[in-house]
Amino acid sequence: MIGPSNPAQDAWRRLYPYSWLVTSIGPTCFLAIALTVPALVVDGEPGSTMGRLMAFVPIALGGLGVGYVVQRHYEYRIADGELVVRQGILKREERRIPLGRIHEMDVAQGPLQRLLGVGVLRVQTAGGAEPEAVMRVVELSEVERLRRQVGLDEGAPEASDAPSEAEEGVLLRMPGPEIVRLGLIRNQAWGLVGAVAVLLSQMGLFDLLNVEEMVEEAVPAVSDADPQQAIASMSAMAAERLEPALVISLAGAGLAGLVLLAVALSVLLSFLRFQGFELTAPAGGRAGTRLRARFGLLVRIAQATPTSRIQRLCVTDGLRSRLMSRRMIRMDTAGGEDGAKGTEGFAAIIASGSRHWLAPLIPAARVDGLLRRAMPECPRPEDARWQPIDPRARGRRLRLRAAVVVTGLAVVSVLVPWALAAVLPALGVLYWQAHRFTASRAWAAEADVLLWRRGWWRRELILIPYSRIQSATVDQSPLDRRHAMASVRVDVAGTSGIGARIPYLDVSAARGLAARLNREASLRAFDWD
Amino acid sequence: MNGTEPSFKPLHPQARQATVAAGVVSCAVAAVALWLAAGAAAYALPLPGRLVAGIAVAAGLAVLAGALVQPLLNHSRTSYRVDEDGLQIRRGVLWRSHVFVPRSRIQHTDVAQGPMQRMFDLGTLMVFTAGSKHSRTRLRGILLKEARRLRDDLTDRGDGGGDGATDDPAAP
Repeated sequence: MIGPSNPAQDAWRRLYPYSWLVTSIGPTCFLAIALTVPALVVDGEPGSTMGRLMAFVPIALGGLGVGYVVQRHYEYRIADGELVVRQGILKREERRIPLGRIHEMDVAQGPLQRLLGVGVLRVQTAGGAEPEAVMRVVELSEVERLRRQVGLDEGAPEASDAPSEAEEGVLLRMPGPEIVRLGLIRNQAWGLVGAVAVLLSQMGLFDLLNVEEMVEEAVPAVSDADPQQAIASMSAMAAERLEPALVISLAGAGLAGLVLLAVALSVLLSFLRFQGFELTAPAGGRAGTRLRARFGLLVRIAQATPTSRIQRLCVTDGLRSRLMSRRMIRMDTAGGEDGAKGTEGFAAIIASGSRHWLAPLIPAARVDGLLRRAMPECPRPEDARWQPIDPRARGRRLRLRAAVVVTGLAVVSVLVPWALAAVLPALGVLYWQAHRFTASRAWAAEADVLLWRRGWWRRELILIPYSRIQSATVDQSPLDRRHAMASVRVDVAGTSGIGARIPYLDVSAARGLAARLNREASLRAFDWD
Repeated sequence: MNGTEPSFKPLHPQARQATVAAGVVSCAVAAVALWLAAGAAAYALPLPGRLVAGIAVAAGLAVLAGALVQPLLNHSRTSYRVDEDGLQIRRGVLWRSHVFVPRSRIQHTDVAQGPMQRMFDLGTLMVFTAGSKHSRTRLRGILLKEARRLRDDLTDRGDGGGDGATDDPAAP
């Protein structure tokens, strides 16, 4: 009952008064449908359905009651530099989260919640994948207040759906056509469509393609002695033989239909995930600014990431995105408290980190501008002094793959002699591949940022500021040692894995790069904020 | 320091003794287990005795390699260096790696000593960063004194925080 009108900051606060209703409506409806629809379909008898509904009412009321009680027992407040959350009916649980540890507070809103101006607040700390606290639901104004108190916001008001004003610079907006393009580029629905195809085949749709059976059935008819009957049955057989052609074209159409379905679903999924995508930052662009992203159709997500938490940026593109002159930018973040000196606090930090979209799709021309806002130290990729990887990489990759392929073909040629003819073209392809591999990779150690680009079909440009490098390693596999080459691995904070791995360098170049990275990293303090 | 660059220090020779001791114990245990298994196999399965013996010997050699040869080789190929920039460790027999950990990235350090190490006065230095792959860098096979000295050296200067753990006798 203590709502946002209560001025005392230390008082215990409760969730939105009608949270129990808001959070229960979804599951309740689902349960109602699950109980009644199958019965209706199976029985077709309204009477028993009504009976089921009658039985359902007390269950629903019970669920709502439980929701209400749970909500009444949930309270939180900010005191002594910590967010304290108390919940639980039988087992009271009190959780204290130091404000410095909170690195993100996301809001997710379902469609009903958007109408009411409330949302589910998730408090993320450096403590792993699960949010430390989840508040279902709180009013948006309360979210704003909390964010300001925790120190995540400088006070800019947050409108849930309306586009922000120009004083907050809009870095990127994705209108409808962009979302469609994103859906075309990312095959998000293939798995689903594949599953549907499997289902159809189970239902015997593809048995129509079984031509052999049809022929077998026709053969006994032909062996009849009576010529007239034979002709009759042969014409019948001819008619049957036309069917396979029809069936095959139907199957082709079906396949095309599946492909179209996959594409349509992919576009639909993109809309669900990213509709209304908007990335903003307070005008001014100083270091440590927060990048705010809002997106989502049914469930609307609002995220804010301080640029100082960004450990690594990755600009990717594929064949399709290049055709449309678009790129995609991902960021790896990690955050948390550096005050905890004990192993426990520290283990929490290394478990943190997540990979977000900075820009699910962005016109290629605007990439530079956005990179500069997200990573102010970043140079223009075109101005970087790119160093290619060692040219010997080409020979090494070619030799290894050629050995495997030639051996494989030789083995196959025992059974299929003409396989040997494929050796030359295969070698040609391998040579071209090795050449493209080597030509497409280069690194640049600029003033403040390490850049690493690679890939040919699918290209990646990775940017890591020196201040985020945790350690650098020079690795040598036995083959590397034979050729006096090495690879350099750069580690950044968070669970995203290796920050960058630069292979096939000359060993002295590798050592020099690692030493340089080490020195640059040690010169710059690493802080989460 | 007399102003010259510190060079890479190898691990302490006493660590080799510890490794041999541990390896011998492992081999002994494995030998007994293999002998029992071979006996049971020869009894239960219709395999020729020579085959079973051959497999047992092969397994025994594998254990020898893994428990004795490989750790000894590793020991001789590991070296480390602490300088102004931070800690560097070189190690690996077939796959070699050279880790650089900058001072300012060291969040926390730990010195630990297992029971076997205690017999030989050895210790393990663990250096923690916020990274994901090398969040914990371990240096085994140095004297306990040396581990403590390195720990103090690394946490002395630089932005890394002091360490919480002291000489924890628990196994690393």
